[in-house]
Amino acid sequence: MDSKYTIETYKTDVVIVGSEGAGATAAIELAKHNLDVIIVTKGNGVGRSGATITGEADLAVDSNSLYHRFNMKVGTDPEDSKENFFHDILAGGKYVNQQDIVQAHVEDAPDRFADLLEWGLKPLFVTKMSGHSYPRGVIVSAPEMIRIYRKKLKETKTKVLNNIFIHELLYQNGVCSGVFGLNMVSGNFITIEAKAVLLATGGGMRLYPITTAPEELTGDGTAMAFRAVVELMDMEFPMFLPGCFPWPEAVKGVNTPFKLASAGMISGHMLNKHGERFMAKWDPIKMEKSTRDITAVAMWTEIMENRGGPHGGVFVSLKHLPDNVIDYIMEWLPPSYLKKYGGFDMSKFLPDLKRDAVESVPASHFFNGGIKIDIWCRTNMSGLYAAGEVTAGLHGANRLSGNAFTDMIVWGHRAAQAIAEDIKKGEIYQTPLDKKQVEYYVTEALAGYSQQGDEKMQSVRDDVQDTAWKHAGIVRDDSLLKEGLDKLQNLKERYKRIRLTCNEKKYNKEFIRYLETKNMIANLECILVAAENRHESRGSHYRKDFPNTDNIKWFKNQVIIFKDGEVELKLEDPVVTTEEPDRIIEKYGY
Amino acid sequence: MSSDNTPMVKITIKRGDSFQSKYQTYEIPLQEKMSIFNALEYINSYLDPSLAFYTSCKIGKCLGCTVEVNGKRRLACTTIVEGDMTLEPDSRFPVVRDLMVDMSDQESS
Repeated sequence: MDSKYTIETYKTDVVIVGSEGAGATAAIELAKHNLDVIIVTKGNGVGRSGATITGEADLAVDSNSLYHRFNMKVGTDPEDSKENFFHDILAGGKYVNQQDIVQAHVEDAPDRFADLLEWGLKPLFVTKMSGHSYPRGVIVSAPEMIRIYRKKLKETKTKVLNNIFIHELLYQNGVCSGVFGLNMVSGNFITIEAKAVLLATGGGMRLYPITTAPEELTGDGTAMAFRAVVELMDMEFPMFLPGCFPWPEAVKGVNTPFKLASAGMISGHMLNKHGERFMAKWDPIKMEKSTRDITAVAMWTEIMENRGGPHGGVFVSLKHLPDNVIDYIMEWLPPSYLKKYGGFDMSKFLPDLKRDAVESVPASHFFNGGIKIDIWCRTNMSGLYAAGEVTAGLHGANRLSGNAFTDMIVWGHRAAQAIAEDIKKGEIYQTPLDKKQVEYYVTEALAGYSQQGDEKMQSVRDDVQDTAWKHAGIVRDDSLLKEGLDKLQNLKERYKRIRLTCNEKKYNKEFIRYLETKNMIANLECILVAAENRHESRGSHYRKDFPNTDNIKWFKNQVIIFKDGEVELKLEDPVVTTEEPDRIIEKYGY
Repeated sequence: MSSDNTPMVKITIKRGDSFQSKYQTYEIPLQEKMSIFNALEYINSYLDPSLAFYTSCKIGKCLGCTVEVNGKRRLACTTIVEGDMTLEPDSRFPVVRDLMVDMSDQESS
């Protein structure tokens, strides 16, 4: 990269950042409103980035609607209701969900499921997933959903720009006028002017070194919103899936150990290096079948207190079962359960389970927090909307199984409705781009080629992940978090001394990762600051020094605002429409 | 990263674009059950940050990391490195640079 640069410019009514579940759903709905829509995706085509394709995947809809409206009589239970679904979401989220958002979610879920069926989705079966009091998990194929989105986007003639990494918002006087980023293929910068910007960028799981999520999920949406003084919320609640391989390298983050012990089909035991079933200390009744947040905390505690295995995990074992039972399990289990994972033949990675245990570690799996939205996906910046995992409010402190898919279809659609309505009413319109802001973003992006210093990009990125894992991981306390905040300051300084070495224009991974690392640092800062301030444990936020859930002081959401280079926290009461938790202090766990 | 007794493996990669290309060989420590994706990451992170390749899901679902391994089309993320190998870009698509191709024209998988 030299000092000469080119900017590719586009203009449209609506730009959607993100091409998968939430973004594609929004584009399909917007096509009904005669608006120009551009989707920009970080992926090499639709279905080649984001977490949608990786879903295994259950889509949660209340069982009553499945039974009556969709005539799905097998595996469902008509006793269920939207009210029950609503209640389970709150109980799972430990009541810091926004109840108006949850209400809209359970109301809209069947309608959006109906859309998918109309577009050709074939549900496989329905099952009861953890945290749900009724069977609501409609098992669907993620590749099938991607095929549907591709087909619908083609039918609606939606313009999709591939390999575009949007990393800044363009705005003036609190009004959004477009987005700025990098065309990774040409190496040129890109600006897209729009009346409305919809962020559907997913979570920031790649902040952590072990994750179930794809490589490019570096929290870009939350980071660019944060820098543009858009309010974020619930950032202290990143969620971890308790049971992934820490090793070998090829299958790091694959969740087979979770299926062996915690998912429900098989009764594997989780052991520490002393051979103890440590879950007895956390949930002596449900043991390995406890909720995902508690199991992750328990595993993490063993690992961090040096009772884990040689590859940094705990052990999952079937050895308490007779050999012929293990043989029979392998016979009746569907092959997709253990022997296959995505494109992996897992039998190559599993030991003889009659003899050996596998190692297992919690992996970064989902961001419950993100951009604060209202029930129509509006943010505190006019013209800026957000939908799907990049938002906060629906899941509270912990997401229920199946609600990631329902989140993207319900909220992608609601965002589109709101955008169409707001444009029609003239409430949002094209405002001019701030040319100085564009110049500033270009200079900032290229700083890595001119600034003084000898830091290597990769070494800073590795240390950001390491700090996230150790200091903003699953088990937190005051000293860990304060140390993490010190390390963060150091990482921010080091980031300014990075000297990029690769001058290629086309698909320059060093440059792409340099820009991503900035976003990862912003996410890390938000998580650390919010976690340090929350003096209690709740859902996926666990503090060793405040191990109780405090519904007297902490029935609150923490809203994050970036002001004058500092992170400010604002405590707000969750929106309550129907249910409140008992105002007591409870023990975290069972 | 590697000690004296770590076995090494040679990964030869076709670099450049449709107009100009050359083969470059990298020697990396062979880890037990590492994928081609892990090998490419290692090269990009610690040996040569200019190496271009695409990766997303890492579990064989997005199909974005397709490369040609010793002439056969394979996914980088689910193919295990067992010995020396030659990697070339997926010949169905125009090359952007090195192993990165432009999949825009073919959305079906």
